[in-house]
Amino acid sequence: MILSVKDVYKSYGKEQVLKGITFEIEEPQIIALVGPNGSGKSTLLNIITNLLPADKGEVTVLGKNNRDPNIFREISFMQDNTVLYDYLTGYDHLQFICDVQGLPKKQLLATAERIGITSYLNKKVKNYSLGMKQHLLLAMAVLNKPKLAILDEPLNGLDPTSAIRVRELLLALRDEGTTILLSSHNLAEIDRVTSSILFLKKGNLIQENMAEFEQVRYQIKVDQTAKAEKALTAVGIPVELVDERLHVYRRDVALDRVLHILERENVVIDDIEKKVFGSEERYRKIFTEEAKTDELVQV
Amino acid sequence: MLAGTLLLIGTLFIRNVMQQDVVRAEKIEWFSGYMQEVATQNRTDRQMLQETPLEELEQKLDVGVALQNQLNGLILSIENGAWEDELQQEIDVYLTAIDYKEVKGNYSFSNGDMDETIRLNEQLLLLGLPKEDIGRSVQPPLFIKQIVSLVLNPFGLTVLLVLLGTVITREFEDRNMQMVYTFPIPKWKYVFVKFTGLLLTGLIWLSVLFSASYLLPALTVESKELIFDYPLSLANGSFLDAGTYINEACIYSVGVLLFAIGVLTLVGFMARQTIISSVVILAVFAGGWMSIRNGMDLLWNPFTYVNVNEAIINHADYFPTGLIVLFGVAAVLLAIAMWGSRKRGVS
Repeated sequence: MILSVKDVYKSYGKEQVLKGITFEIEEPQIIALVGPNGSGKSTLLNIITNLLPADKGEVTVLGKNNRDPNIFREISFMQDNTVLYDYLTGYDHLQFICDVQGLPKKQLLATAERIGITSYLNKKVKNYSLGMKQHLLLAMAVLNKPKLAILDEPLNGLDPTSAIRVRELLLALRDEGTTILLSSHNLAEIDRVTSSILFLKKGNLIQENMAEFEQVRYQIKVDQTAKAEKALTAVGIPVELVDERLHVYRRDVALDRVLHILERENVVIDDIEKKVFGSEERYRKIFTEEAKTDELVQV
Repeated sequence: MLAGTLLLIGTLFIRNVMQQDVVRAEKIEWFSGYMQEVATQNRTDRQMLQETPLEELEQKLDVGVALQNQLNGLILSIENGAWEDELQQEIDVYLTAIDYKEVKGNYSFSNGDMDETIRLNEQLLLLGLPKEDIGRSVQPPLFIKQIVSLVLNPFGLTVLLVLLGTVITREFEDRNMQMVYTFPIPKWKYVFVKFTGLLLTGLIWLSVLFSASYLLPALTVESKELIFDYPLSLANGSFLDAGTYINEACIYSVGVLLFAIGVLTLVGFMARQTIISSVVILAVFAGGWMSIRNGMDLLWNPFTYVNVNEAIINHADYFPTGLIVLFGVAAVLLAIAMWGSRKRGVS
């Protein structure tokens, strides 16, 4: 078990921020923690890393209670850039971690190279841009090659090029066996890297598997709508008729089979549109109860 | 902080150097005042004797005249810089002044103070040392004593702690601690490391304080022979030589620093805010000072030792037990700070 969060409660005064959060991560993957501002994302991450005590509940990290400081030998926590020492250099920060963790200097240099911060490593943090600080924080988070990296808004303040680089890094880390739990507001990026999403809504957790809720829907326009609907329904393929278009879900059937059946029935296909429903769509459903198409892809 | 300390020491030393001539002038003025007081009485007594001869009055006049002459001789010795004569004549003056008071003469210097001065002068004559103005001396051990009195007291320590305290609270306020707490080190160790760091900083400051206070006069002014044997009057009536005073001051300073850093560590890690921490430290040391002023200067009260000079002079019998009190209280404060941060969050 990489991470186990059981029945965690947290209140600030009368306001209950977390109401019995429970989830587990068993295998290396990238999981996103999503929710609007003030939903308790940072509180949950701080509780997992024992920076904040929970009112109730238990957190186990890699089989150890999260109060055991030794968990930080195998996990890391990337926080927002205000935690950095302005008057120290990026090198100082990394060296500090190396000293505490007993890591060799070559690992420091290799990580700096990998993240792309070598050129400004010896500058004081107060002279860093937001993106440079994000990169330094990321380097600090991966320096000890953690089994679990908890990243709070890792894509915040990054330009598109940097975001792509960070995304590739996250995927590479996952492939190397690192589990990544990240919080982010960038839902498009989340779709590209995560396999599972934890939605935090009013202190409750809604866990979604990307494979289960990501919906690809084909909208097919044909010359004989009624005949096509009847033919597909007859072979057990669920079809919805919306605005004279047949809507077929990919999870229910392969497109090739649909096309084959329609061809067999001599139904002429005018065009096909593929619509993808991603995390943003799911987010809207959960938080605003409005479902809108996220992305339109012409096939 | 170090620059401020050096500036204070330098300024005070220059002031003392400049005051050396003033010291002599003030002494002359001081004894001239007494001579004037006695002379006036003698004049009145003579007039009264001419009108009404009385044996009592005659006795008083005899002693008064002798006292006036001795005061005159003392002033001449001061003017001539003959310090041995000065010491002996001051003894004679006070012995006569005590007699003078017995025959109903007025001499506005208390018998207790005169007794103390007589004993001090006898000690100085025994050692062959001239008398120094303790508050304005340029001799190394006495200048150190002056610095100890001026700096190592509740006020000086509060200033030191408020300046040092930001080292703890700023890391919480700037949220750096949130990063530091994600390293594989128990939280109590951070407290201990901070305590040790602050203690080392304090020890460096103390070293600079004592070294500069010694070196500045030692290198610029000719030290008198046996000056480290200079007798300092204690509240119990005995004397402590200046060398022993400095040793005790150094040892007490370390103990007081340990106690003060203990207070700072506990308050800093509990309050986590500079303003609150500063106010609490101020309140703690003001409370401690008030407890001492209200007769609570007891052996077990760590604030008894916060004014290092007073602890040595007024409570000679507390040394070295007082050190155990300071070390013990510091250990308890540190233990509470470490225990308190064990489960406490940081965000």
